[in-house]
Formats: sequence, structure tokens, C-alpha cells
Amino acid sequence: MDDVIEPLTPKELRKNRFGLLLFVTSQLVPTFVLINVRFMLADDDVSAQADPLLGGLLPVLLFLLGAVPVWRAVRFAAVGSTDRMRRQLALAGVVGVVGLITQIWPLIHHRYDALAPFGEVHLASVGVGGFFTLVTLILLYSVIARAGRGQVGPEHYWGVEATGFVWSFNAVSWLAIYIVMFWL
Amino acid sequence: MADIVGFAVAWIVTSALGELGVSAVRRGSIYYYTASNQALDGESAFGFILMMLVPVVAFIVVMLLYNMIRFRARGKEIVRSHVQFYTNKTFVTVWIAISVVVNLLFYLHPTASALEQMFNGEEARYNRQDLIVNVTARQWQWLFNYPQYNITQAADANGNSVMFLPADRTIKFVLRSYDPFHTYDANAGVIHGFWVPAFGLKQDIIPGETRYLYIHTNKITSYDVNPMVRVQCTEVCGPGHPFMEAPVHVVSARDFQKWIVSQQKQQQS
Amino acid sequence: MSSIATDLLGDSPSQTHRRPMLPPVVRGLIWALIAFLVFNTLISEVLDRMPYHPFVTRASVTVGWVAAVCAWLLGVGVWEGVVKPSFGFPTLWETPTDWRKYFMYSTDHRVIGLQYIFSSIGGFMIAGFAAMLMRLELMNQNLWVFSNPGAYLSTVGIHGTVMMFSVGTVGLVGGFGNYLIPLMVGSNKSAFPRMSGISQWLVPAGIATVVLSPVLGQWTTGWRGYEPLASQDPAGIVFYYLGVFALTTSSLMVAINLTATILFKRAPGLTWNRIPMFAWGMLTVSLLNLIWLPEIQMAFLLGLLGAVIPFPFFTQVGSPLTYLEVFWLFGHPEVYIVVVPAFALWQEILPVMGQKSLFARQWGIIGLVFVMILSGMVWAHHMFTNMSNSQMLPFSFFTEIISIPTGFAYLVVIGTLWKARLRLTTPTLLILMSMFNFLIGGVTGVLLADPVVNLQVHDSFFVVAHFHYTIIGAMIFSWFAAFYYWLPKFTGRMYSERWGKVLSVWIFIAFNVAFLQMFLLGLHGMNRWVPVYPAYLQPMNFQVSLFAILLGIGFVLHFLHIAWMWWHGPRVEENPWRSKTLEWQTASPPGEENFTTIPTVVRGFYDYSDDRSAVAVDVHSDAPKGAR
Repeated sequence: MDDVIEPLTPKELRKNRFGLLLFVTSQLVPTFVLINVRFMLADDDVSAQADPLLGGLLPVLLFLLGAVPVWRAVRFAAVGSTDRMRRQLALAGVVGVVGLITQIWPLIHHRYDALAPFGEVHLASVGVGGFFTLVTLILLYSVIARAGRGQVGPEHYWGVEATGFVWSFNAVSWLAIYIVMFWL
Repeated sequence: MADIVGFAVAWIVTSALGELGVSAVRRGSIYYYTASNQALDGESAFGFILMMLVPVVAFIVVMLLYNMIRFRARGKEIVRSHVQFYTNKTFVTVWIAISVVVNLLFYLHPTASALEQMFNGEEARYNRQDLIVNVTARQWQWLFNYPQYNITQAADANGNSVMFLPADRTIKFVLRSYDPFHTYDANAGVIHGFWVPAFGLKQDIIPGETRYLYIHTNKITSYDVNPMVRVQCTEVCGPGHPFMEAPVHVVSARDFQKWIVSQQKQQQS
Repeated sequence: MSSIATDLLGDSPSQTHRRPMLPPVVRGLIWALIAFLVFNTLISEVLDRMPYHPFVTRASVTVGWVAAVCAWLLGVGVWEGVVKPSFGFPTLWETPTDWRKYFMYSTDHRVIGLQYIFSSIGGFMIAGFAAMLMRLELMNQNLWVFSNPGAYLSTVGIHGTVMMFSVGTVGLVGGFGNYLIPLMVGSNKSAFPRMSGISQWLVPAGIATVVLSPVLGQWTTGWRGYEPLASQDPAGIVFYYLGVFALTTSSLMVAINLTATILFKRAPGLTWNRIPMFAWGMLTVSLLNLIWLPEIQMAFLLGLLGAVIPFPFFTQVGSPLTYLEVFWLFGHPEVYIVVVPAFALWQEILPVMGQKSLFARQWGIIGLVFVMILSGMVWAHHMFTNMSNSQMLPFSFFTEIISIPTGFAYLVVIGTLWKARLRLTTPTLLILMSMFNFLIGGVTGVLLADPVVNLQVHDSFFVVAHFHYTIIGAMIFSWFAAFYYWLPKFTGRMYSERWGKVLSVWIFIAFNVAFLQMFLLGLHGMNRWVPVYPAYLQPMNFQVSLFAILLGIGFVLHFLHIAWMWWHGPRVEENPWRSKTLEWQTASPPGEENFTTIPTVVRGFYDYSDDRSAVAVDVHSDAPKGAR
């Protein structure tokens, strides 16, 4: 297998973007169901022992922050500065891992009753959110790995762009869950 | 032209035969056996819908058969049809108009009208003289309690649950799903369904909720007369679900009083 | 024996490099076994030891299953095909050209389509066998086949789940859709072949999971998985949730792939106005799948958490009704996901068989689209028995009016067949039968939409008869029509008309006699989920079972016939039906590429007013368009 990667035609790029859009739209639905379930099962209660940061605000901030290097990486990829692109991706990776840990921390340690309505809904949300974050990070890592082998360039950087969309979706959906869990 | 006439004749004949069939069924009993006013209402709604849909069903069936027979290809050669058209504004317009109108009419009657009757029947002011029966569903048994007579669990001589009801009376069933013998386990309840096939209505019983069903009995009957006069659980509730039955007896007012007295005596002993 | 045909990117490799490798399916099974053992033991012995240390706990089997399915996919070829290239190590994946290509990860949409078809036939046979056991049990009013009701109920659950998620949603969409859509839109590939290849291998995993559920324990809820019973059930229910996860993930991937293919891989000249009817069916179904499959996945995740942890989401201290709502939000669109491809098939096949232009095509498309839209607004008609009175009216209204767009499919077919020259081939016969059956299913649906009637017949065999009329009656009969119609396309051979017709009449009679009586059983007071029932219902149950068994035999014979003709049928030309649609304008079976030159479409596919082809003649070769 040679290292020559075919450049993506504009139509293929549109097709890829559309396919990813379909996928991301479909994954909004579980977020929506979780939001509904939160209100059906737990009203708008928030447990007094819930940690507002871990499993709450911290991952929101980290994911939003992490979107910056990811999108910068996309821009660097488009102009061909692969070194800076890789550095931004690596930075995003670090932010993402820390974000994941702060997101799923309540699964390991929580002070509220896990079997009470708020507790069970929060833990389920944290688990689902953590799964989505994990998928985002695996995607990010795969792009970093391929970039390391010189397979990402200005004519074929769809993977970086896809990572941007997926990361943003993950950040937005966790933001929505956070707001619904703690503020509405 | 000839085809349209031919089809119309076939359709009218088939519809007529269909209507004859449906009215024969309606004179019999669609619900097989009814013992309440609600069952009669449901049966008449069912029969009305059937009667209205006979021409529709006949249209489609006769059309399919007519097309299949009259317009079939003759010979082995694959030949294009000589008549070709992409649409027919009249046909399409009439079809859509009729389907919209029939739907709206169905919504008014019997759907909304029968529902309104059912809702009215549940109005508090019509139900002050009701016999109240508390029905408790547990896995896998029905428990009947008559609060107005202090009967905590109606049972026959063997201890099996049995339900006696007076004829020509409105019964208000108060439905709950919980296990009175294991109240320490909040997770023990499951969804059951309360159904007496001869009474024409059912309600699911959700643990944690109290639900109501209003039935007006209209004849003296019992499980021994017709097996449809039984309480049957209709929502799967575990391996005991098929066994969750209880016999029902609808008796005269006097016999009902006698039974109440005997139950109260049984309770004291 | 086998030649190295192509690697995954479609180029011939510059070097032939053979590494000894186990057959991929075997490798997948071995890797799955190892992964299961490792992860199961990790959870049950190390991270989450339960009292008395059982080797398999609910938590450990869940994690072990996820690992096993991932390993299965990797072993079957996803490791070389997707994972290694994604991380920068493109690998050679040898694809043989003989029968072995069907038993490994493939990116050829024709191979994937046939793999899906075989998987769904397998699911049909297994779930059908479960149904035979159920009907056998019901011949007698007492338990005589199963030793306890829980075993019967587990069989009911397996039957329903496997049928709905591996036959109903997969048979026409994953199978025929994957094979035919690229051909129908004039493309040589689907939009996302690598994802498509992954999606296929989830189906056997999902079927196996559900079928193996008795290994973990019984489960008594049936395919709906109602809470709170589900969180009370023995452990078999865990594999119900997990199996459905695998199957729905597969269908979700198919939905994305087919939508993108129809939108982005169309041949030049194939405008929106000319999209084939079957493709419209796939588009509407895919949109439904995209929205509702993730919904049920979330609902089942909550159910799984309720069974494993267990979170008391849906117990009586939680909200049982919430489960019913989230289930039926999916459950109703699901049945339209099953039946809309059948509507599209009626409109796809009959113009060809009648050699007459499709009538009122736009109304057919509007019908498909509005059925899709309305299907999301009617779900609570499954819950008339547990809602408040005021909610009944709107749901009854929308349920009743969904019959209007459904009727458009009949409008189109009737107008098409009028004054046609209809060849009464087996596909024609099966589609007409399918339309008749769905008519009965639809009429009983109108009855069920009336709440007062519904409150009598809900949860009785009346409902069972209704949905079997719509699902078997419409979808399965149309599925067989699709087999017979496209058999010459897949194999270049023709079936036997005599056997096709005889067997079709056989299943039509057996089906109608069995299931018409089921309506009567329901009206006579027979409830669902009962292996044991009052004696007065036994005579009719006996007859229903008799004809149901005949129906099962009929289905098996149909498949045997199709299988025989697949290999031994007489050879026919590449377009025996004289269809104008694109898939028939190329070789049967398709050659290495579907189209050596991508055709240009110049007019609609359903216009039989003249003999002109819908595609421009290929100017580069003497042979008509298509490969030899």
C-alpha cells in the first residue's frame, strides 16, 4: 500500500459531511430522550449533595475550551501546516481526557443516593455522556495517528473536520444535559 | 366505458352481499357474549365501522380482482399496454375527498360520540349510587374488596377470589396493583390488566396509580353460564399471568345481599 | 482456487502477499470468545465481585458481550478493513471471488446485500421455528410442550424480537436495499461501503444474542419489554436488550448509507423527479430509522440499567408509564419502518408487470412521506388502556387519518393496473395478495383506532391477528415478491412459475385461515401471553395452529424453491421483465462493476407509453449499456 492518498472531490466531501450530519442528528435523539426522562422521573429536583463541578460544569468548560484547538487544527490542516495541526490535536486530546475524567467521576464517587430519582438520572446521563466523549476521543486519536504517518494533508483532511464536528456535538449535547440537570 | 360499468356492477353486488353478511353478524353478536351496557356500546361501534367499511373493502377487492382478470396479459409475448395515462384528476380528487370525508365522519361517530358517552358515564354526579369494588392485582391473583360492606377479601369456600355483582347496577371498579402481603418491597408491583370479556372494557393497572373503570351490568349471568364472564389479566405480568383469573357472578339484587351477608359471616369466622 | 481480486480501496494490489489466516468467521468467533472471557472475568472476579462470586453476573455479561461483539467484528475483517487503516496502517485484505467472499467483511454492496438477505432469512427461520413451538403449545389448553409458562414466554419474546429487528427492519431495507439501491441510482458503489460492511456483521451477532438469552435465564415480557416486569425478570432479559442494540445499530448504519447513496451517488440525469419508487421507500424508511432507532436504543439502555444495576427508573416508586411512552414512541414508527418498503415495492413492481406507466406517481410519494410523518404522532394508541380520557381523542384522530396517505399506495396501484396488460407472474400474485392482506390489516386498524372498541380488544388475540396481517400479510408477502422479481437479477436464472404460484396460493390460504380465526379468538375473550387458556377456546386454537404449521411449511418450501432455482434454474436474459428501471439495464448478475460506464438518465423509469429506454445509449461500445 503506497502512501499516496487520493484527494477528496468536492462531491465526496459534501457526501461525507452529509453522512456525518445524519449521524450527528440521529445521536441528538438519545440526548433528547434523556432530557425528557429527567423531567418525567425527577421533575426539576437537584440533589443537595450533587457536586456541581464534577459531572457538571467542569466537563462543560473543558469540552467548550477543547473545541478551540480542534477547529484551529482544521484550519491548519487546510493550509497545510501539519505540524501545528498535530500540536493542536494533541492539546485537544489532553483537554479531552481530563474532561472525560471530570465527566465520569460521579460513577466512581458520588455523595447523593444513586437510587433516588435525581441520582439515577444523573448517573445515567454521566455514563451516556462519557460514552459519547470516549467515542470522540477515539476518533481524535485515530486522526492523530494517521497524521503522524503523514496521511493527512491539505487535500485530504476530512478526518480532522469530522473530529471538529463530532467534538462540537459532544460539547453541545453535554452542555444541554448539564443545563437540564442543574439549572432547569 | 364498458369496463367502468362492469366494475360498478360487480362492486355494487359485492357491497350488497357484504352488507348482508355484516348485518347478519350484527344481529348475532360481534362480541360473542355481552353482559354490560358498555359492551353493547362497543359492539355497536364495531358494527357501525364494519358496515361503513364494507363498500371500501369491496371497492379495493373487486378492483384488484377485476384488474387481475380483465386486464391480464394474453399470450407469452411481453407487450406494452396500448392504453397509457399518468393520472386522472377526477379519480384522484374523488378518492382523496372520499377518504378525507369518511375519516372525519368516523372521527365524529363512532369515535368521539362513543367516547363522550363513556366519559359522561364516569361523571361523579351519575355515580353516586355505584357499588364500589376495590380490585387489587398482585402477582398472580385478583383480590376483591367491597368497602361499602366491609368485606376485605371476597372468597369462596376454598379461599379463591370470586366476584359477585348485582345486575342492573353501575359498578365502580377501583384498580390498584400492589402486593398487600409483601408491602415491604416497593419494587414488587408490575402492570396488570383488568378485563371481564363480557363487560366490553378493560383498564391496565399501573403500580403506583389508582385507576377506575365504570361498568353497568345488564343481565344476570355468571362464569358457569358463559366463560367470558370472568376476570382475566390481560397485561403480561410474569409466569403466573395465564393463571390470573377469577370467576364473576352477576346476580339479582336480593341474591347479592344474601351473598354479602354470607361473606360477612365468613369473614367473622 | 481463489484469486486475489481487489483490496479495500478498489485497486489491484501491486504485490500479492498471502498470510496464512483462519477463515474470518472462525477467527471472529475465537476472538469473541477470548474477549468475552477476558472482560467477563475482569468484571466478575476483579472489579465487581458479587457474593458467592458467580462467574457470570449481569454486569460482567454486559461488558463481556460488548467486548465480544467488538472482537467478533474485528475478527471478521473490520480489523484489517477499518481499524488498522483508520490509525494509519493500511492493510491488504484479500477478497476471494468465490463463495468465501460472503463469509467475511466486504465492501461490495452486492455481497453485503446478499449477506443481509441470508442473515434475515436465518432470523426468519429461527423466529419462525419459535412460532411453530408456540402454536404447538397452543393446540392444547394445558401446558404440554413447555414445562412452565416462563419458557413459553421466553420463546414468545425471542420470536417477536428476532422477527421485528432482524427480519422486519432488515429483510427489505438492509438486504434488498443495499444490493439494489446503488444499481437503481446508477452507481457502482454505495456511499459508505466500509461502514456498510461493518453493519452487516452486527446482524448475526444480534440474532445469536437474542436466541441465546435462555442461557442467561427466562424473560417473560415479550418483545415489548414492559417495565416494571422487565426489571423483575430473570437474567435472560439482558440479552434481549443487548441483541436489540446490535440489530438497531446495524439498521442505523444502513439508514445513513442508503440515504447518502440516494442523495449523492445518482447517475447524471437522475433528478429528484426521477428517483425510483423503491428508493423513495428507502429514503422515508431511513429517515424514520435515523430518528427512532437511537430513541429505542436509549430506552433500552435505561431498561438495561434497570436490570443490571438495578436503577429503579420504571418501578412503582419510579414511573412505569415512562417506559411505555419511550417504548411506543419508537414502537409505532417501527411498524411503518417495516411496512413502508412494501408499499414502495407495490409501486415499483406492478408498472413493470403491467407494462403500463405508473399512475399518479407524485401521490404515491406524498403517501410514503405523510405516512412517515404521521407515524410519529400516533404512538399512544397502544396505550389507550393506561392513559387519561382526555388524551384519547387526539391520538385516535391521528391514527385514523394515517389511513389516508396509506390509501395513496392503493390509489397508485389501482390506477396503474387499470387497462394494463398484467402478467400474472409469481411476483404479481404475491403483491396482489399482499395488498389484500394489508387491506384486512388496515381495516382492523381502523377498528382498533376507535378507543371504545380498543378497550375491549386491546391485549387480546384480535391485536395479534391485526399486526400479523399487516406484517406477514404486507411485508413478508412483498418480501417474497421481491425475491422472485429480483432472482433473475441476482443469479441470471429464473424460478419455476408453477411452483412459485402453487406455493404462493398455499401460503395465502394457510395464512388467511389461521389469522382470520385469530380475530375471532380475540373477540371471544382470549388474552395474550398465555400458554394455558380456558377450555372453550381450545377448538379454534387447534385449527389456528394447524394452519399456522401449514403456513410455516409453506414458507420453508418457498425458500427451498428459491434456493434450488438459485443454482439450477434456467438461465434467462438480463432483463426478463422488460423493466425500464436502471438495475435491469446491466448484466444479470452484475459483473465486476455494476456499470462499466455510468449511464446518463434521460427520462423517467415508469413511462411505458413507448419503447424508449430511460437511459441514453452507451456510445462507447457496441453492446448495450452494462458489462458483459
